[in-house]
Amino acid sequence: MLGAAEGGTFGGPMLRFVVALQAEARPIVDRFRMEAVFESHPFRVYRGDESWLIVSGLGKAAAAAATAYLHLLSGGMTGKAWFNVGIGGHGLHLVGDSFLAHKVTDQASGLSWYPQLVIDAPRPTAPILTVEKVEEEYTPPWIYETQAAGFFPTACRFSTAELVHCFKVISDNPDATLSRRMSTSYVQSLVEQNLRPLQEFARGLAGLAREVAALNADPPGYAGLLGRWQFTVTEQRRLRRLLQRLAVLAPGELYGGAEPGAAREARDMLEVLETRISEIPIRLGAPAGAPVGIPIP
Amino acid sequence: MIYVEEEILNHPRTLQIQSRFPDAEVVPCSRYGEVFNRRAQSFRLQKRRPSLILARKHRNFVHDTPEGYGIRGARNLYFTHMLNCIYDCRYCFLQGMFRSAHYVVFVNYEDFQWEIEERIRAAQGQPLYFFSGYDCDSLALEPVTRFAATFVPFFARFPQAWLELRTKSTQVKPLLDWDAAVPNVVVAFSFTPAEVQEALEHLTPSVDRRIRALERLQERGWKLGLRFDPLIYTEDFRDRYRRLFAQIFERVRPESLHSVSLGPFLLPDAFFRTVGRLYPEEPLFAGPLEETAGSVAYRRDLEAEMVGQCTEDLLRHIPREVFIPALSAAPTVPPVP
Repeated sequence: MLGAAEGGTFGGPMLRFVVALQAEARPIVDRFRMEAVFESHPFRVYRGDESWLIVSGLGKAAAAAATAYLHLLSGGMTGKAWFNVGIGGHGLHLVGDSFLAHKVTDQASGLSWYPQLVIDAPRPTAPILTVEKVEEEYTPPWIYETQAAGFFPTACRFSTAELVHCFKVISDNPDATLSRRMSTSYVQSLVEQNLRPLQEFARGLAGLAREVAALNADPPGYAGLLGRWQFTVTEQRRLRRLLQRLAVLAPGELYGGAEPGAAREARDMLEVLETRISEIPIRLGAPAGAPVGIPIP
Repeated sequence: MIYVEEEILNHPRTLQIQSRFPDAEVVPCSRYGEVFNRRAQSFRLQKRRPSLILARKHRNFVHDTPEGYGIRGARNLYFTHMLNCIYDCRYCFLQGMFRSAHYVVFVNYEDFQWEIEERIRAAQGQPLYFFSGYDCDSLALEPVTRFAATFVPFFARFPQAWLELRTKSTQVKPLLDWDAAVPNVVVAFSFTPAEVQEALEHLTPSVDRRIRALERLQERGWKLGLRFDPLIYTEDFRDRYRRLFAQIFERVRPESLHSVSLGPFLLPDAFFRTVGRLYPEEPLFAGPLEETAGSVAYRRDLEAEMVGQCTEDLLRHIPREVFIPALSAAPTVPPVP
C-alpha cells in the first residue's frame, strides 16, 4: 500500500482533505500542489508534500468510507489534521460565503458532534445539518449538506477532535437554488474564492498536528538500544520512560551522558540509565511545550 | 464560544453569564457531555483556547470526602459547581481526569443549596465542613460565576456549617465588599515556593499577589487557610519552603488562621500516565517519583524528609492547633462528578 512508505511519526503530509465532488477537489489539489495517485483505487486520490485528498462522492456513508480509506492509504498514522471541504445551502447567507462548523448534526439519527476550535478561525462558524438527500428549503441557522456527519465521527477515530474540521462554502440559498443545477466550473469557483482562509487554517492545524506528533515521538536513542539488545515488552516500556526522563533532565546528551559500554544485556542497560537519572539534580523550569491561551471563552 | 444546554438557555444565571460575553457565539447542546470529555479530545490542545460550557447538574450535588480527609470532629463534604480551572498547574489531577480543558459551570446553584440545606438539617447541629474547590478553583472565575457572592451569604445562615473556598486567585473583591467577615467561611490559599509557582503553576497569580490578597482579607477579619499542597521536590526544597513560610508569616498573623496544612504530591497512577503523555517534556514528571498502591508519589524517603522538614519549619511560625495535615492529603481516586 502506497502510504506504508510514509515512515516515522513526523514523516509525510500532515493534512487530509475529504471532498464530495471532483469540482471541489480541483482548486484544493492545485493550491496544495497535489498530484493524482494513479494506482487503482475505489476513490479518486491525490497526494502532495503536505497533504492528501480523497474524492468521496455524495452522501455521509461515502464520506465515512472515503475517510477511513484515506486514513489507511496514507499510512494509518493517527493525529493528522482532517478537513471536509464542500458546498452547502443556507436560508440567509450569501452564495460564496464560507464557514467552519462548530456543530455537526445528523438529521437522520439526531446525533451531534462539536468540532473543537483551538486556533483562530479565519471564517465565522455555523452549525451544519447533514441531510440524506439534497434539500431546497433551508431553516436557519443550519448549513445543509450531505457529508459532515459521515466524515466527522470517522475522522475522530483517527485523530483528536481539535484537528478535525468541516469547511463549507454557501452554494445556494432561497435566491439561488440547486434547481438551477450547478455547473462544475461554478462549484470550482466557489471553492477557489475561499482557498486563502482554508489554506491559512489548514496550515495552522498542520502545525498543531506536528506538535502532537513530536509529543508522541520515541525518545532519542530508543531505536538504537532496541536494535542492540533484546528487551521484553515490559522492559521496552521501562526503557522508553527512562530515555524520556533523561531527555528532559539532560537535554542534548544521548542517554543523559550514561555509558552503555558497561552493559552486557538489556537489563544492565536499564540499570545504567536508572543510575544516571538518580545522579541528575531536578531543576524545574518552564517547559518548552505549547503555550496556553488566554483562559476566557 | 459558549456551549449552553438547551434546557437552561433561559436560566437567569445562564443569561447573566452570557451577558458578560456579548460577542461570544452561543452553541446550544442537549447535554454538556456531548461536548465535554468526549473520546478523541486533547486536554493539552484545548487548554490553548478553552470554552465555557453552561450546564445543569441533575443529581449528587454533595459528596462525602474520602475517609481520612478533612477536619477531625466534623463531617466533611464537598460539592462542585464547576469542572476544570482557568489556571494550568502542571501537577493538577484535572489534566489526568478529563480529556477536555473546557470549563463546565453548573448554573443551578439553587439545587446545590437545597441539598446542602437538607444535609445541614439532617445533621441536627453536628458540625459539617463543606469544601468547594475540588474540581476547580473556588474564586478564579468569580466575576463570571458569582459563586462566592451566592454561596457565602447562603452559608452565613447556617453557623454550624463551614464553607472552605480553596483558591490560588486574588479575586477576593466580593468578600472584601461584605459588611463583615462571615465567621463560618474559610478562605484557603494554596502555595508553592515562588520558583515552583513560576515553573509549574502557569497563569496563576504570583506568590506575592496571593499574600497581598491574604492580607486584605485578614484586615477585614476573614478566617484564612494555608495549603502547602502539593509539596514539590527540588534539591534545595528546604530553603525554598523556609523562604516561602517566612514571606507569608511576615505578613499573615497566626490569629487570622483557621488552619494550615501541607500535603505531598500524589496522583492516581492512571492520571499520572495520562499527564505524562500530555507533557513528556515536563521535568516534574522526570523526577524521583514511584508508583505504589495505585498512586504515584515521591520516593518514600524523600516524601518523609520533605513532610518532616517542612512540618518542623512550619511549626516555628504557627500554633500546633491550626496545623491539620489531613486537609491536604489528596484522595487516591477522586470521585467522578
